[in-house]
Amino acid sequence: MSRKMVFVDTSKCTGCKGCTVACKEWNELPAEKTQLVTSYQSMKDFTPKTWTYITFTEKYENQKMNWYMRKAQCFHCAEPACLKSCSSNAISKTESGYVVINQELCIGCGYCVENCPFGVPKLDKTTKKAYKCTGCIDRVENGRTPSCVMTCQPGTLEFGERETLLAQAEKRLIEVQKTHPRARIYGETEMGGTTFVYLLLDAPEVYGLPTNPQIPLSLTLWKDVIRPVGGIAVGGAAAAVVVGVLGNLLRGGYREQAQDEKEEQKGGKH
Amino acid sequence: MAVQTRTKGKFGQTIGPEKILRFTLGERVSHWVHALAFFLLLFTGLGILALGFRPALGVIGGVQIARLLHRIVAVVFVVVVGSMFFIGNPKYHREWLTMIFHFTKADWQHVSAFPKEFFGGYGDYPAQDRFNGGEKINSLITVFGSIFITLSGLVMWFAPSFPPVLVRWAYPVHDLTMFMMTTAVLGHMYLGLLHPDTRAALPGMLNGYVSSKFAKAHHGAWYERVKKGQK
Amino acid sequence: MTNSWSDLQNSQVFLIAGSNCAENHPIAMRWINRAKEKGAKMIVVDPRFTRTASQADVFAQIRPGTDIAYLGAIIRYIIEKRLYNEDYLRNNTNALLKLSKNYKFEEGLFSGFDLKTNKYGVDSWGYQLGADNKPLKATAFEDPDCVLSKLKEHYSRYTFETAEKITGIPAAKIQEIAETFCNARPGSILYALGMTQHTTAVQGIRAYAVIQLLLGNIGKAGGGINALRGEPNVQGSTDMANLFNSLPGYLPHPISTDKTLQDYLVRNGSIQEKPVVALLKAWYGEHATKENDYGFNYLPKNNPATNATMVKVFELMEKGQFKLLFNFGSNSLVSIANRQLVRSALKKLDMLVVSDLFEIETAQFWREPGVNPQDIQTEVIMFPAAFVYEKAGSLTNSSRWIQWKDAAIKPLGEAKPDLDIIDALFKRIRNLYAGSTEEKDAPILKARWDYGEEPSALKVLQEINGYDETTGKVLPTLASYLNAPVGTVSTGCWIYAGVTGNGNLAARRKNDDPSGLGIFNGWSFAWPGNIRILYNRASCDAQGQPLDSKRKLVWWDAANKIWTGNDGADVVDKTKGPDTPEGMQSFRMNPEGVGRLFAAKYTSGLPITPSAQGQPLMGVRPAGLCVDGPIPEFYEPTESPTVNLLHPNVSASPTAIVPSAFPEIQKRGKPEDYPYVLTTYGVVEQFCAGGITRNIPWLNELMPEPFAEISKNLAQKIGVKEGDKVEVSSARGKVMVRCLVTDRLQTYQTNGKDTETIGMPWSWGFAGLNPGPSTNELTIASLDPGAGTPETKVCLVNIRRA
Repeated sequence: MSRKMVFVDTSKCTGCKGCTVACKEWNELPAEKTQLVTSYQSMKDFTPKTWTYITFTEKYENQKMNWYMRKAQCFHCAEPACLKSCSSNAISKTESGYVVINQELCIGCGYCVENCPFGVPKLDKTTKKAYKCTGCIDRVENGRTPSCVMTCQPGTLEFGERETLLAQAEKRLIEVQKTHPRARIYGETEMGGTTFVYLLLDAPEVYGLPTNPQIPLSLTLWKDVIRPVGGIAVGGAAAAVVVGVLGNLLRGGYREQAQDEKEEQKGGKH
Repeated sequence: MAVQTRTKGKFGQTIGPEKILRFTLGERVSHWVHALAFFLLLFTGLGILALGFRPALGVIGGVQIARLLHRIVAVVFVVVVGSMFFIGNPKYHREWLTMIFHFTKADWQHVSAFPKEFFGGYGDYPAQDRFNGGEKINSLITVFGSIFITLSGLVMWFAPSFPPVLVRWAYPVHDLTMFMMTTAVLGHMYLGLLHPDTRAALPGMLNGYVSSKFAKAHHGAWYERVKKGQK
Repeated sequence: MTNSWSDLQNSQVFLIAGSNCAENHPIAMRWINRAKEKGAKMIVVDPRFTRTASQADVFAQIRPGTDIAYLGAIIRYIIEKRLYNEDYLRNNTNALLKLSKNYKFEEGLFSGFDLKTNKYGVDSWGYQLGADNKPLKATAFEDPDCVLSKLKEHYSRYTFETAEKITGIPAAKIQEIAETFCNARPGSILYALGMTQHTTAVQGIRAYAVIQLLLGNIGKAGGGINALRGEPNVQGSTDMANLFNSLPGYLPHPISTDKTLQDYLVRNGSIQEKPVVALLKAWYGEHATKENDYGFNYLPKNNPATNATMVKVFELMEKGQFKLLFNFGSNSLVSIANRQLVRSALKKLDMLVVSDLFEIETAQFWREPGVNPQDIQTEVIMFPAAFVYEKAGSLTNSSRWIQWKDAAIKPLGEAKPDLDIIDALFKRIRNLYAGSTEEKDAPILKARWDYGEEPSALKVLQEINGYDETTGKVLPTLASYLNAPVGTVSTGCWIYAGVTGNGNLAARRKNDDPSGLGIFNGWSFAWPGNIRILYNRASCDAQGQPLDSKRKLVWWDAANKIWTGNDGADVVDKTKGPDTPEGMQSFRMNPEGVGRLFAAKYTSGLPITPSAQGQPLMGVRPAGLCVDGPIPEFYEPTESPTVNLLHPNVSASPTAIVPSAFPEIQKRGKPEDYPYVLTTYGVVEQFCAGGITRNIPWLNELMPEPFAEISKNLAQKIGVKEGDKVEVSSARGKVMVRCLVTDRLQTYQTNGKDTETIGMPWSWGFAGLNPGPSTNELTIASLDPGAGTPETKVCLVNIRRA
């Protein structure tokens, strides 16, 4: 399957939260107890049972009110930090650009939870598995659009071929920049190019997004340096022990010692 | 030569001309609890670290039990060893700590000559104290390793309570420490169990006493000091 | 809607005022966004910066209830700058018609006001009539008697500066709104309850009509006045006469003085003969004959002195005039302004029957916290109602599309569709009356009730569509009804004629759109006669040719001598060309045949001389009138922080109905005690009174609680921060909620004085999975004199840290 994309045109989002319900409905996720967090936002963060929600940011400057709404969900990175961090090969990436957790393999170590630069996967304490947006891959692979896209009334969400939608996003950007000069595309290059690509009306940090999301240095160091070097070190030590034993055998160290012990038993020198 | 009969007695006091007390009961408990915990933690941890090893966890009932065990053992290790510093011959624990941080010229000479001895040769170095340079390094790795692996483990365990960036760094620290400690443990085990000259130190960790011959040969400075002290 | 949802894509500019469509009609944004992508501008005027406002190009925060002030300023701007469409005014409006010399507007009162009854006599609101009973038409817009001149004079007081002092919107911003809306055409106006829940509701919408007629935006694709209806079938229920004073199809309801059909027609015009007879035929079938006046006296008659709109019904109930209330699909205890009256009135019933999906607040009124069940003697019966997906039938949406759906699943448990419940009730009631020869029982015994053993919703829709009563066949089209002689056809609602004509057209789902205008005339069926854009004759010039080449709706096909086009032509007769009197009319439902800038008193076809037999005069079609004035005038809400700047002595609407029958309950607050303005509204996550949505966990987690939105200034003043509990109180009650401190509400100036608006959603009540305080504890139930809508959008409150 070719590389897919969901274009999230936040300039059209009205914060109706229909996507949240559609997601829960399709994925059979139960409702959770909430309280208003700020503005009209009732979900603070992702949970094992909340894979997408809307963030509300109010910004009043120069007598002008901006109310930014953004649908948050897994970005489905081309270079996913979660996949790199996974202890159990439970996370995989599809040709179409989806990053999926296989709960059968997941052991709940939580490495993906901590290493995702967007804080997407969440651990369920009961099932001891990590969960996040699947991108409705079960729908997509059967020729249907993701549930959130399907339900979106204002046309904020569009699903299709990455090439086509990227071109469309660029066009929209030019239009939107006329009224929102700080508008930008987010996700075209970030994390190697994400599957959910945003048209943001303001800088990413206004939305609480990292300006330059990356695979954490600690993760690269851990997986690409410490693990191999550490393995070599332990292997080296083991080899040294073997060599040491052989060396002592060859030099007769064990024989000498045995003799010493015999002598001691005979009466001792000391 | 004076004879000391109390097994729990003072360090370096001998019960006979052939034997000399090297480790008190408290120290031995610390060592073995630590050692046992280390291997259990290594075993359970390896299952998470390396997928190839994971089937081995079947022995204890699978990866989730391993993860639970990893935490329980970690707590036992920290609590038992930590409390030994207060209740199990604390003076000697402290002395050990003081000593390993006190690196002398003789220690360096031991360290540089030791590789030869490791592989069965004869190293040329001055008489060592109760802990030789190599042992001090091993002890330092153990001390710092224990601290780092405990702290990073704590952060990993209670990840949601810490900033993600700290948690992210805890993973490589935990693994790095594990690799260092494992490497050290391999050398330590070789020297303590397999090396013809040094394995005579093993009884010191079992019943507390080493042969005077061993003490004289490997820890001459200590042996002499103890001898003097007993006069 | 004069137009349709999908037509919004054709607009160049939107004025969204009194509607928070992004929240309450999310589908609107799909079409608005399409227009915006083509360069359309979006203006939002609202007391709060709403989710809709977040999408706007121009936003203005208005003091609740002052819309007519800034709309008046826009009317003034259009007339002063001559931005009106002259051809359109000439051909399609009454702009040039001369008004009676007796018409006056002085000191906040139109001529004809009766100080004793607080009602208007409307005689002076008429035209100067010619010998043929037709209004005199001026030749130039400058004629001092013509409607346009009267408008100019009336709105000359509405400068941008005056409007600023009243509304709190800066004058420059009002000018920007005026320029933006006038410079781009076609422009569409969208409104909903934000505009209608006022004591000046009807006049506010009238102001929209004036603006749209001046700009020539009515009858055009992308234009119109678009009422976004609040519930999936609220348009359908309105069409079926959910108001006490109308019959299905917007026919006037008979009153006690209508002793015969003749009396009724004298009052309402001979044009009503066909629809009312067809309605009587639909309801009484063979028992409605010429001989018995088509059963006209089977119909109940209203007492014209009794206003039986929703709030007033509860007043009557409180007075003990009701024994039994059937409550279907309404949650009055949450939704009615000043709900104390509802709480008190329900107790006076002998029996209350509630048919709903859940045990809503109204059904549990007897165990509301603070109420002692032992004090209540009312018997409460709960009918489990089937959900929308569990029943077949049609829903009429805001676009006037009658859309059929089948039941997707069987109702759960003992639940039944409303139709089945009503059918069973009626059949049992009729059995109780069997054999009676008393006249008063005739309506029950003579009624035609033939929807089958198991009632079929399709049969009901077919009855609404109508039958040829001579053959018993379903009427094929609206024309077949219009062309039939009186008494030979029936229709349960004449505007729906044709909906099941050639098969069930409401079930059509053809979604091709060859014109690209979003007409979709193969999708379901729009009333009347599948016309998608009302008054579309006005989109043509005098020759019947489309004025907008990009948006061609209908045109006169001279070769074939017929009105044709992408849409169905909204003309009197499709075969009458643009040069005939019928073919000129773009507003065929008005007696003048044109759009009414000024709602004048006028009846077409009224004979000049009385008949020799002494029979009363009967005209053809009387004009609809507004009881509170022929043109919109700004009046302060009942509870206002200030007095009317234009005429301090007539501050609030002189005709507004301010209930005072129960002074203990119906209290009125003063700005000294209640200095802040409260406005109430819905949020997208909870629907209306929440009877359904507050029982859906997925929606409750999206909007878990009611709240009070306040400005940062107000928060500082009362010492609260976001999330703190506050107590909001009015003269009528108090509620405790958490507060949202936000920049979306700003302090503004009313007549030079700092003013604060507090916003609160109203969808909560004490029952269900997500209970919360009801905001209608606070609101005032003063009513629009014409529509009876309570002023839930404005009242005065106080707020303090709780």
